[in-house]
Amino acid sequence: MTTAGRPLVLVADDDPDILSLVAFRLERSGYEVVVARDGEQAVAAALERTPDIALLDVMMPKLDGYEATARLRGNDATRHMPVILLTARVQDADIARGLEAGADDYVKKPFSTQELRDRVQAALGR
Amino acid sequence: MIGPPASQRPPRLVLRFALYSALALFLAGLGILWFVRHEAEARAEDEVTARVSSAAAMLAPQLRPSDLQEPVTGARLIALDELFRPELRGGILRVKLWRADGLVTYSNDRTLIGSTSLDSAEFEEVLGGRTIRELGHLNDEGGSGQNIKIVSAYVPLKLKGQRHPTGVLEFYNDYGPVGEQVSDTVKPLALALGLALLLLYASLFPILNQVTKALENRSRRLAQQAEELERTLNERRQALAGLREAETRYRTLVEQLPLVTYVSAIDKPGFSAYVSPQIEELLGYTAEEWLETPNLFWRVVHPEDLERVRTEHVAGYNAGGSFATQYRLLARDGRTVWVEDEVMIVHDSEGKPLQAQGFLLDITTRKRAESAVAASEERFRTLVANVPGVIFRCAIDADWTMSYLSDEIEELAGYPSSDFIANQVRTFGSIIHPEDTGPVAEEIERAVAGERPYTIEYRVVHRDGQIKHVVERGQAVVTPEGRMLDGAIFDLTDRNLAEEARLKLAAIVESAPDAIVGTDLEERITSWNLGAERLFGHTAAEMIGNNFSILVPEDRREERQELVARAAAGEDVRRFETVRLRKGEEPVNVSVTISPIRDLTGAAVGVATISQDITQRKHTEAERERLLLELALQNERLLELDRLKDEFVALVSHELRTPLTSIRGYLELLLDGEAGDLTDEQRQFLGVVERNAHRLLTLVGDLLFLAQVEAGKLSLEFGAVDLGALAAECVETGRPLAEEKGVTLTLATGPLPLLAGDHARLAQLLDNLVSNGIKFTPAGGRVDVRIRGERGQAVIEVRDTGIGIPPNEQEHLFERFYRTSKATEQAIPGTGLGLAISKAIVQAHGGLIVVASEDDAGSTFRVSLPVRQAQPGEMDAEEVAL
Repeated sequence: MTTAGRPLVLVADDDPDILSLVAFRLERSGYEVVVARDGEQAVAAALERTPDIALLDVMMPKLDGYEATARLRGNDATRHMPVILLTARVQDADIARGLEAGADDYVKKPFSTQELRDRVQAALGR
Repeated sequence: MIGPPASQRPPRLVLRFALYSALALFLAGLGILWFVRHEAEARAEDEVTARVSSAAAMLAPQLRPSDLQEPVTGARLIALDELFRPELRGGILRVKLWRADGLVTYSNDRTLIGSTSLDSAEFEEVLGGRTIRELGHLNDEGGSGQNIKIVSAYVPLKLKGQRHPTGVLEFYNDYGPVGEQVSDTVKPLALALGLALLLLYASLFPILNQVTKALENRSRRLAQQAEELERTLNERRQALAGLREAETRYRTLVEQLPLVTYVSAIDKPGFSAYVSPQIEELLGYTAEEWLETPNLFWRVVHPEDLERVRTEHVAGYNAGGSFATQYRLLARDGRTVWVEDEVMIVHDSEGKPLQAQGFLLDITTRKRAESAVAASEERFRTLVANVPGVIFRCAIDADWTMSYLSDEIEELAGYPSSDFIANQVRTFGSIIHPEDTGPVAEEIERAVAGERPYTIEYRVVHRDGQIKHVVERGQAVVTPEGRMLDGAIFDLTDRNLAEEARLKLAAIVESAPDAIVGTDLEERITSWNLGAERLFGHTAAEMIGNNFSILVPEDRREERQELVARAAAGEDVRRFETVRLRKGEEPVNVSVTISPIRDLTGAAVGVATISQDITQRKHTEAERERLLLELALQNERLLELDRLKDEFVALVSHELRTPLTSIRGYLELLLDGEAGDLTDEQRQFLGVVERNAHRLLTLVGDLLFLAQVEAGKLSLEFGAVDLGALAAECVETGRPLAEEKGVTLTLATGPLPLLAGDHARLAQLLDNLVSNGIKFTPAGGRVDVRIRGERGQAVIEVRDTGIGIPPNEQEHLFERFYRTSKATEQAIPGTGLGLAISKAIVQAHGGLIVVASEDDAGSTFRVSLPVRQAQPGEMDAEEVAL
């Protein structure tokens, strides 16, 4: 759901610095941002708020990004939500695993926030 | 055959003729009389038969069945008398009535009633309808007493009312009247016949007499001729007897000679006319067979002699004289018989050849003896030739004058045998070494005096100056030539060499470091070298003759037996490891090799066992084993460490990325002015931070890449790569840095097909090489990049004019974290990972990277990559030629 026409972005990462950085950049770019500190929170927030897009870190406590993606894909409310994985694991196998879990795209850490924003815009069809 | 005197014959012949003809006449008369009488009787009988038949036919109806019963009553007798009376007047003398059983029931002569005369068979005939007629005399019956010739007839009697005859009626008729009647008609006929015969006889007699006379004359002449013949015959007989006697005598002589005599027709050589019987003994064919079988002679001539014998015979027969030849004949049983054939051609009075005669002498034995002598000589010759020494016979004189010396001398002394015979060219004494001449003479003299054989060794000087050691064995003998010396000389030079070789071999065996022990088939030790003494501690003196088993531990005895058996059988027994016992029962590890010892015939007579002490080796092996194990363990630990390290690197790089994300992200925000405007100084400082963050990130990326490579997890994304275009990009990327440093950067691209490769990795490779070149090249230098195709390879060359790499460091250049001494000294920044990564990328593409460098004279990195998956459409002729 959007507030005042601003798309809602769910950002999940266990690193608060990265969370703040991404949230700052996206909010400056006109998005509303909801954050989560782990996978479970991310899934709960997604079901509660049904954001327009989810950016999920792969290596998170409780539920990793792959699993969280799978959960979102398993729920009708979030089945078609675009999911972009943020990953420090850049090996091919890791990327393949993410796409298999249902992610639409991935961004390798370290990423440029501008690039990330561009990807989000692309995923939302803007 | 000679008959009786002719004068006796004619009267006899006539007499006999007369006698025989008279007899014939008489017999003819008798015949006529018999005929007349027979005719008369036949007529009488026919007449009687007719008479009784009519009588019977008339009487039968008047007779009763009771007339055939006995006794016929008196009244009936009278009645019957009455009945028969008229018949009795008509020439019938008597009537009888017979019952079927032959009993007379009525007769006109009462005395005959109740008598029997016909037997049952005669009755049957009469009752069957036959009438018996016979001539007889009535008084024979003892009846009336009148001597009257009668004809009796029996007629079957069928009474009225009866179907079959039941009785016989017999009539006796007087023959007299009938006979007379007949005689009257027949008698004149008989007389006329007799008269005619007499007349015939009378007319024949004179003719007969004349014939007889002619015959008489003829037979007289024949008798004379026969007499003459007889005389001639007797003469011939006598002559023949003489001849026979002579022939027998001659034949006996010929046929007892120990040779075969024969006569042949002149046109038929062989034994065509006569051959004496000895031929059978000689060749197995009888004399008759020779005469019967033409060409037998040519069949038995030995095939090898056939042509010659033919030629000789033809020539000999034509020449007409005598000739002798020898040839072989094949006997019937296959024997070969040598004969001497002495042939003589016999001529008639006109000198024409008449026949050939001659004799064959068996000379097989002689021939055999001749060839035996030849064979014996040949045997002697080859024997002497084959003896590996010189055989001689010489006089016992100062020169050793040779009467025989075998050819072998030429081998020994270099001079032909003929030189020495009778000292023709040189004496045997002249070839004996001067120093040995005296001793040789003395020794032989002593032996001859003592009448014993001698053996001496001396030296012979060969024609070419070589000294030959010889041994001579000999003895004095008495021969037709006088007292001589017979002997043989053998060259010892070869033997000495063999002995030398043997000693050399023995020395080798003796000095061999291994124990070499010879044993016979019973395992008795026959040889024991120093090596054996060293290894086992026993001396040769202690061991020779002992059993090898002393050296073998109890539990290895069977194994030893088996090894020996295998070796003796020719099997290879090599480096077999086992245990033996030293002196004092101390076990020692040995490696044994066993080989068979064979005699000259190749039969195994024992084995040679070579034993090598492998205690030290065993020890070394154990040690090596231990070290290897240790090494393996260490290796395992190292591998584990390596794995841990790789994991660590991966983890670390990940853990580094996360903070770097924050660092770069916030720097980006600051530099973007998101946190307010920055002063130039602030911006400059943040630039430094960003550059170092970037370095750190590159380092992390490189570490991760290498970790992947070493974990074998590097995977390439192959695609078609235009290496030229890629190089151009990389050069452009490096250009700002080069310009900043004052280094000239150039690119030269030759024709090259598309390459199958990972675009990103190849870019990384080129970046590495180009940035390295710039980094290590001082200002004013150059970095030249060349891309070209070469023999199916894509070649990348990056040449710089930089500081170069010392040769001893070049080999480490591609190791991880390796930095050259100069890079370190000159503090040129770097991690030592670039070239390691470059190499990994090249290898992953199946290529090769090499460096050529000289100290201070720059470096050239040359990468060659195989061109795979070239796109045909994008190749031109030049590219195909690559």
